[in-house]
Amino acid sequence: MKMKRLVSTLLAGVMVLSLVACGSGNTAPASTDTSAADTATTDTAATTDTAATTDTAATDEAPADTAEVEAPASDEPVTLTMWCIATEGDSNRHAYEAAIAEMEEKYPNITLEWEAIENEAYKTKIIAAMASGEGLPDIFFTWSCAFLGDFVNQGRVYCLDDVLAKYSDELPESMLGNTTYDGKHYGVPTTMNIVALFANMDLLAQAGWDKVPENYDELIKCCDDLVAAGIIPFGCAGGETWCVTEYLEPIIEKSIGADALNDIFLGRASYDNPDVAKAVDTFQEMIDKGYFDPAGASLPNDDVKANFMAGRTAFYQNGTWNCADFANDAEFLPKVKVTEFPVIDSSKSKLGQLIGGPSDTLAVTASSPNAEVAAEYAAELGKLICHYGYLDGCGLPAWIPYGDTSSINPLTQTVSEICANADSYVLFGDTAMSAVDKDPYLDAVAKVYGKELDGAGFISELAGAIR
Amino acid sequence: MHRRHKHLTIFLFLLPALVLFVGILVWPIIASVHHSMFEYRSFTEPGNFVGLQNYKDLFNSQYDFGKAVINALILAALSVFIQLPLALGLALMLGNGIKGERFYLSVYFTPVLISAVVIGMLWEKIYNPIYGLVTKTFEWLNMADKLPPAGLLGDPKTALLAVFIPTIWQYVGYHMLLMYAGIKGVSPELREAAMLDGATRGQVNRYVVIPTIKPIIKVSIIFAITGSLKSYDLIKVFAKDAYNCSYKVPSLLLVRYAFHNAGGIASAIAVIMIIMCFFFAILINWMFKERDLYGKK
Amino acid sequence: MAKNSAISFEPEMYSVKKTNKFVEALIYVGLVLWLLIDLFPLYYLFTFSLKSSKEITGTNVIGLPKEWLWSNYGRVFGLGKKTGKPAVRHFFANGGIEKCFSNSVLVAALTIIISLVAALMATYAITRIVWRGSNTLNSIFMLGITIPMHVALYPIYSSFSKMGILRSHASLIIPYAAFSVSMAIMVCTGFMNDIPKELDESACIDGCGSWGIFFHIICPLMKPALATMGIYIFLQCWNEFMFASVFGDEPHYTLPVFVSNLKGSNITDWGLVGAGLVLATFPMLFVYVFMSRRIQESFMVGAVKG
Repeated sequence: MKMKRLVSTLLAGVMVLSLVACGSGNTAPASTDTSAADTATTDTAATTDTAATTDTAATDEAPADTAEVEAPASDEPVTLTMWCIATEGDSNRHAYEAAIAEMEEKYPNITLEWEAIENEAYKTKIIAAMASGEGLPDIFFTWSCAFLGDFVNQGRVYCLDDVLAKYSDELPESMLGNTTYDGKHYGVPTTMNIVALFANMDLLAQAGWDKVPENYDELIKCCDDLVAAGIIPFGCAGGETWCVTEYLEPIIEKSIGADALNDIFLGRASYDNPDVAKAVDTFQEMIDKGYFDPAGASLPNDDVKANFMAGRTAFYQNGTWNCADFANDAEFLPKVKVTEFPVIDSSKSKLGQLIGGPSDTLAVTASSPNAEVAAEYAAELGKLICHYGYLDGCGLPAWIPYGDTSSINPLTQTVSEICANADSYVLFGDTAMSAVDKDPYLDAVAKVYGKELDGAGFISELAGAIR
Repeated sequence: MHRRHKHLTIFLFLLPALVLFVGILVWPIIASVHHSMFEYRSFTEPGNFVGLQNYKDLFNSQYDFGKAVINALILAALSVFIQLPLALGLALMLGNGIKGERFYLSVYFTPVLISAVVIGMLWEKIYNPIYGLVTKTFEWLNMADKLPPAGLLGDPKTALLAVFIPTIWQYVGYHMLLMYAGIKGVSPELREAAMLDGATRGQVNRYVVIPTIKPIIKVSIIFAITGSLKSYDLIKVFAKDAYNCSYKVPSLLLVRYAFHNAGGIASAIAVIMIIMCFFFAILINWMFKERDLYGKK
Repeated sequence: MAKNSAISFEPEMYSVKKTNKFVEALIYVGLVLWLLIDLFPLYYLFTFSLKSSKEITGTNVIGLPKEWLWSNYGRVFGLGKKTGKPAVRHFFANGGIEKCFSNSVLVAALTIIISLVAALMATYAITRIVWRGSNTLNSIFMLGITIPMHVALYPIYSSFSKMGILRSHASLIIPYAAFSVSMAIMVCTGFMNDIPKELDESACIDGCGSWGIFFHIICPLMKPALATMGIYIFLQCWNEFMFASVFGDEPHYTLPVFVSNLKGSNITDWGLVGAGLVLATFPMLFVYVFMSRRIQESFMVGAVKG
């Protein structure tokens, strides 16, 4: 029953998600963009239907019969290589290991040699390797939208249309929007995640709060109470700028609205927008009021997250993949609650406008000598990683879930409720933007956090730097 | 020896070094100059010819290159005016004949052998604003409020200093060793003669020893400056993703833009770095020549 | 001629007779202070490599470990061991720290051989054979000492990738060797000038050609120079990080890359990181204890010969 509810909430999320379709917008001419969005919106009803019907079937027999259907054409031994970021200690590590172990049984003739590389190092490495086209693996982890789009533009990515067609029952078309370029599919999404606000209820209680603040005024009041009680409200890793965007982007979105932010990220509108400047000032005001842990200024995310779990900060805003780690800590789990960042300007934004979407993706290189086998393998592996990742709480599934999902942790369940009520999604800025635009964006965000730029400076710098 | 045969022999002897030198040093410099005039959007295909536009763009606030150069220059100045005097002081103390000087010398030199990556990670822990050695020491001294809450490395005002401290820690031993060798090369007679004339130890150092080791000081200065201009490893470890950092240096930006589809910008940075290194090497050489009243060594 | 005066520091040196006791004491205080500054971070590193995170982050920051957790070291060796089935590998695969260690040794050894052979031959052509332009060429080689290695990163990366030798030991050895050649030529020139020219001449009379002189006269006499230079080049390669991290891949990573990867997801596990740093550093320091003089000489010779 719980599962049923989860699935339905998910599908509701899926329905809305289809509105995003950023991948095509970025690389292809505008026409495909709109058509993708159109078709997606018009056929959501259909998708929901088919998905709902396959739902039960998939639950029972999906793992068994796909093995038959998807067995590779020949039994010749093949070795595939894969790069990903599931290093030891990464939330997704277990999902990768479990999925790969299962794949080994399913495909005894395929040997997968995989390598996990730390996030930042991986970005440098895959970009460099793609640029040169040398030494590429067969399968690689990628973020969707512009990150993958750059590689597609370079002609390095194998088109997955044929393979994914076989999975249309298990993988809703609407989940593919971020990895579709010129109407062609290039990626196998695994999980989708959003940015959410995690709260340590024990610390909130010490400041006299027995619930998570429900609107912006309450949040500010709560922070003031926390500061008065000698508790630091937020932990944010200044050492890794993407962590700053996890704070800044929801603040901007909840100030100017999802559509406006999406247009800016996708290059359809300029940064030269006084509302953005105002939102940035709001963020800096919060820093000025001492809401942010000053020790976070140069720390990496793992430290800041550990600080949150150790009770140094009351809130931690980051991706929902963190649910897995919080849920694994039996002592910490009862203390933590997850919620959505409140609306700042209700005339422009509303609850349900979220940052995130399907981003974690597996793709196949065009240069792979076994591209066809790799494509089938990647699709099947993506499904399994999604399955195990969902069970672990690493995110919401991009694929229709199957099997017993009753053990899913309460945090992930709350997240899927948030997604069920979602209005629209804006993909993480550094994923939505091309490599060239990303640098000035992250530079400027870092400067905002370091108080080198104010709101006006932020918009003028970015309006000048990006296009 | 037959003339042509001789030329062939010379050529063959030079061949391996020339292949390496031209292929890996000279050609990349030429290529960098060439690349720096194009707009690169990806590795493989050069974009349009843009002339000197990349150089102009570098100094837009977007690239922060001006700040990176200033940071590198500050590091160089700190090296020359703090690190080298410290090294000279230690070398003079040791050079006068002290019990156990070999031991001191060897210990001082130890950090030079450690990889800058290791040093970076060690000092990152030392600087940790919550648990680090520095923080704990200040707490113990009841001076925690004197320390910036973001930690030495996190506060823009102290960050560059925080980068510099491990550098001194690592390299003072190196410069000290060079100067020490020079001091030991000062002829004892010269020193004794000065002492007989009633010079104090300080005066001997000032008027006899230091002028004699000038060539070594020159080399130390060149190494310290070029070393600062190309510092990368330590800063890369501190900087993590290199967006948020108040101690950006040119090499950090170079590596970033090289692999973020901005090869033209990266090449322009490379060219400027080469020019700066040459400029300082020549400048220091020239300064020491001018002042050297006693002629060359 | 410069060879002996420049790089030897025999302890039987003269010393200044009349020294002020107070100044003497001050000097010792200064020396011991710097000694402590030098050693304390290493002590700190060593002790936190043996502590639990709890001790490091709160109860016992500076003291000796209450409980000596040698298991931290075991865990470093555990990194990179194939987990589960043989096909499942991860970042440090193929043997983890040992593999990175052996990569470092291999890369350094081949670099030393290549750059020394190239430098020795070039130096011979420059200093022992008379021809116009030899001085100019020498100055050009010397310019190479100032060039920062970083500037070659981008062009070399793109040409190596076109040649298909990226992600191999060669992609590190070639640039390392090229960037050591200038320094090696400089040092070899100093040493070779100390070899009397008469030796060549008499060998010439005995019927030796250039190659004969090179192999039979020069090479054997250059052994001390090669040893000195070899140590220097070894340490440069051993610690190089930028090329190693960008050009290598998992089977070819060297020790500094291993160390920087420790950060990845273990950053909050100080004990593990500390143990990794110690393992990457202390073997070299151990060698240094026995070869301190030679190693110091190798660092001096480059600077002093210039």
